[in-house]
Amino acid sequence: MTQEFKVPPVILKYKGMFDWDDLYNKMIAWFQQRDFDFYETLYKDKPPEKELSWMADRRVTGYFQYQINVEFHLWGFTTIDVVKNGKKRKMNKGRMTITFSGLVRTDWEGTWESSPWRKKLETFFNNYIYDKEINAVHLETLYYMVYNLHDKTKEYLGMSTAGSAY
Amino acid sequence: MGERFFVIEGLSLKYDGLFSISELYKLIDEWFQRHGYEKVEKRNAEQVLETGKNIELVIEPEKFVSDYLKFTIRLKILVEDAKEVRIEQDGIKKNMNKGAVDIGFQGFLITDWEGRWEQKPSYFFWRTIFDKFVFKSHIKEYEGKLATDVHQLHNELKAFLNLYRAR
Repeated sequence: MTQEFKVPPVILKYKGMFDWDDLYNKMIAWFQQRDFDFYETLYKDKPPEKELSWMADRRVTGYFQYQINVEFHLWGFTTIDVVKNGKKRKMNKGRMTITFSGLVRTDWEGTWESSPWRKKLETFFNNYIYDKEINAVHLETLYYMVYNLHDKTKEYLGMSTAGSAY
Repeated sequence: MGERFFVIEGLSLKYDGLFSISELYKLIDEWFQRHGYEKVEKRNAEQVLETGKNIELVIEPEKFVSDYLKFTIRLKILVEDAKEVRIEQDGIKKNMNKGAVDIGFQGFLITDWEGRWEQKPSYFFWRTIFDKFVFKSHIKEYEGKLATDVHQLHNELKAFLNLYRAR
């Protein structure tokens, strides 16, 4: 039986000018650099509104898997021409909410699902033997990975609160 | 979640003038990291308007003191009409912000943060007895430690902003 341990979601809100293509590519590159398999599960483009859902997962061991979910919701999305450093380029303007969340999945390959006895053994394993490791190692690591992506997104958007001491 | 004891409420800091938003954020982040708090950013909203930037930031870092107790400091930072300005300081050109900042501080202590003593009414009863009579002096001691943390952060931010005023 696959069990999931969740990292609380982090929400980012932004209104102003940004480079959508650049943000999109840089965020995907963040996942690729960290060996995540990336899937775009939703791309809804209904101008001037956009909705996207991303799911990225990474195998940690045969037993543990990390998953990061990102959800975008954009309103009033428009393309404008701006002159930056003497060069004319296309930028975007709008309002967006990005929600980042994550989860640690145990027995993601389902190898412990073959019998009721093994399922019970997995629950015992997670609750008593792996309890500290799940919380202190895996959830903690994923928690700061989610914050790192959140922080990088702030940087890509040029937000004033970009940067992290953690 | 367990019982929440409000230790600090209504403490605030207001500033209007030149400062750097990114340096202020960095200072807060580093302070919490140095004092053993886990990062929790509850709300981060930024609006870039023609009149300047409006930022609303709510952070609630947590420090797990034990399996039973944790400290939470809530900072609500509001920045209004922050304009980007370029200044020259000691011959070096720097990007700064000019605007108003309002920081609200709250500190609370949470007992039984894992909610282990809430599973049965009898457990809840024993937890209340425990908090009110047995653990009372310990809670008072930890309340003092949390209050020190909040006041220290408040003073550090005040000194940081006053430094800009002195320039």
